[in-house]
Amino acid sequence: MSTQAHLIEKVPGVMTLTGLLDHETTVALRQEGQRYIQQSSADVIVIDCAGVERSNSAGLSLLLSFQRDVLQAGKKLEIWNLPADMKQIASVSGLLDILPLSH
Amino acid sequence: MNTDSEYAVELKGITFKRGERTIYENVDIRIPRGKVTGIMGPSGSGKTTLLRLIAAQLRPEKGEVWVNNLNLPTLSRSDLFNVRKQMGVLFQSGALFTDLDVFENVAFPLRVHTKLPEEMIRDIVLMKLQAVGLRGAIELMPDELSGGMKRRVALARAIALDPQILMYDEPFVGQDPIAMGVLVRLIRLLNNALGLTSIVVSHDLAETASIADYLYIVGDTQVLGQGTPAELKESSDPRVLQFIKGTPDGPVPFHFAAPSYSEDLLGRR
Repeated sequence: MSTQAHLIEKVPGVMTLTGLLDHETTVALRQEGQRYIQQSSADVIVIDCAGVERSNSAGLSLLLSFQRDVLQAGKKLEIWNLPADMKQIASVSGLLDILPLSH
Repeated sequence: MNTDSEYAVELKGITFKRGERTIYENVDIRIPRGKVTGIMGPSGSGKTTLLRLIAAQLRPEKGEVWVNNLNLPTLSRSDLFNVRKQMGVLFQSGALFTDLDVFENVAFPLRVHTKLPEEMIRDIVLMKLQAVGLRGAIELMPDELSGGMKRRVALARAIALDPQILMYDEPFVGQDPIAMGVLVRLIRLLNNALGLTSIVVSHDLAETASIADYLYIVGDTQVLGQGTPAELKESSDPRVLQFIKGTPDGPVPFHFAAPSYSEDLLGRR
């Protein structure tokens, strides 16, 4: 039942996350994001979630995974435009103080 | 999956029998989406049966069970498997795996139903345990937990796959007042914050009425009453009042249908 989800580099250092984030779509995105973060020369990695149509907890785990990658690479992460449904899950799960949310 | 309809679950004209005994006779029940609906009734009135019909663990003799606009009795096995992923059930017993620790109990549905890598399974397990306040118990075995903690771990497991519909089978039974308060708050919080549809099957009137947006009272093969908790308290229907006031005999008889007592004891003359 999963539709598509994508992770695209818009400008250097800024990845846009789009589509439906669920238990299936996030598996491939996890690896794509890891490769991107490892190869990027930017000091600050931005993940823009404005294009996320719907997400369950797997989408939050995806962001946490990227956060671990960024920390390991000695860079800084910023998460932009976290949609309301992801924010609700983050709130119930106590992630609002852990994820570096801005905008 | 279509989730536009106002009702997450609709039972239409359900008849269900166990052997000769009729549990439900031509019953209609509609569960509003995004709300907490309580299904109440005396023990043995078939409340758990109702949950099992919605979860497609039982098939009705007659009638339709619509979940997210799919009629379950007509679905193939693989379609049913997919629909079931949208439903979480908190069983009365908690039903934790006694030989697995808390982490593995919550991780279990994620391992069975997804191909997520281990780090993401761990994230989700931690998130769910944090939500129920038991992240610190992650390495404990079920027999090291209190009754209330067991039920909260079972709740974390029931929401592991982010179901749209969450069903609770007698969640308050055997809980001390503090654990009960915690559960009441959690059921409401999860429903509101995650946009779930919650179905609470219970005979605990005070707790269920305190969280339910809508109540059904079932018994005697029928829906005896329905409405908001406030509406039901004002009901003039003697069958509803009997349940709400807890009187042993009334329109719903104290005695299970039985042959004549004197005949049973003395033989037919």
